[in-house]
Amino acid sequence: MNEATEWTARLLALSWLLQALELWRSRRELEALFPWSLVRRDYGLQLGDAAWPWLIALQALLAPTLLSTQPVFPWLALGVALLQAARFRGSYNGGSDAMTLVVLLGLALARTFSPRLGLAYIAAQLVLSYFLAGLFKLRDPAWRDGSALPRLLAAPQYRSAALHVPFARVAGYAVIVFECAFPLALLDAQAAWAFTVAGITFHVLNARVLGLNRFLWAWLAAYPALLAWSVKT
Amino acid sequence: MNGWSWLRILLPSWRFFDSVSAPLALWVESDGRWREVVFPHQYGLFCNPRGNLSLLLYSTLERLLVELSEDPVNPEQLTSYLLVQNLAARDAGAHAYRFEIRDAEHVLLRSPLYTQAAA
Repeated sequence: MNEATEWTARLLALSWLLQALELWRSRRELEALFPWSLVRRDYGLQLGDAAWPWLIALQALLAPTLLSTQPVFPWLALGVALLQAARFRGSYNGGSDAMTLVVLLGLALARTFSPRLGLAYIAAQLVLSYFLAGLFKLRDPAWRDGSALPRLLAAPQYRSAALHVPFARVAGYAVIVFECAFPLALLDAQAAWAFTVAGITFHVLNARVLGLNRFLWAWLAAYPALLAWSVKT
Repeated sequence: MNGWSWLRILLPSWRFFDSVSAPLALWVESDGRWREVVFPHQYGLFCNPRGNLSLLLYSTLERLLVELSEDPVNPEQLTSYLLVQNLAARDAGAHAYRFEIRDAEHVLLRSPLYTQAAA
């Protein structure tokens, strides 16, 4: 469990640092196109625009401290991540922000109370993230008849990606099978490793085809918890 | 949807692409010409600032439509509306403008005509 906690910390530090670098590089465009001066209406806060780059810098500075065994650092990082979520009215990049918060909270629990507790929380959320996503897709007729993924890839925000997935219909079914079967990863260590390899491949493809690179790193940080718990069961 | 609804992120629903709706587009009219605002798609395994910014802006269109379905009376009071209006105003430059959110077949939202001073 201790080794898994350290791997979680390393991968989370990398993921969070990459997120900070990404935000820093687009901070001027973000301020122009998604200005805090409009977003802060939601909260009735008078916090000025100048606070925003400092928050990104603080994230970059805190990322390496996640390697420390001191419990205070993941809690501080969690606070900064929540402020970032508020800045973007929930999330900058959907589920990747949610998974980052899950792993931050799990690491904070692991450092403060016990690695078993923190890793159990992360592993449970990881399994749920795939299983529920698969179940929700199964409820949609477009996913069941195979037309959903081709339509998704043709959407404006992904439109150039349609060229890269000629077998989108088959791939759509494969995604549902992979996601719904994911709880089997808890059965034993070999199954966990097989699902880990499949999951990483899935996220690399998502990054390549849909541009969802933040999901790859956020989910990667959650996998050591799954491997630790599958060995235990 | 109140300003603190973002706290829902602490209880993730893990619904990813569970229903694929008709693609949306933001169109802006200025100088008598309509044109689509393009959200550029980019890739990058480690760092993809442009691509993720595009996804954020596109999701703001989707969120505005959800919020309008909940509170259709005063769209101009919605933060999502003001964010989309800001995008349209920047695209229009110094000209008066109006904008529409469309899917493949319908105009889902049509704004009044704005002068840049009003924006």
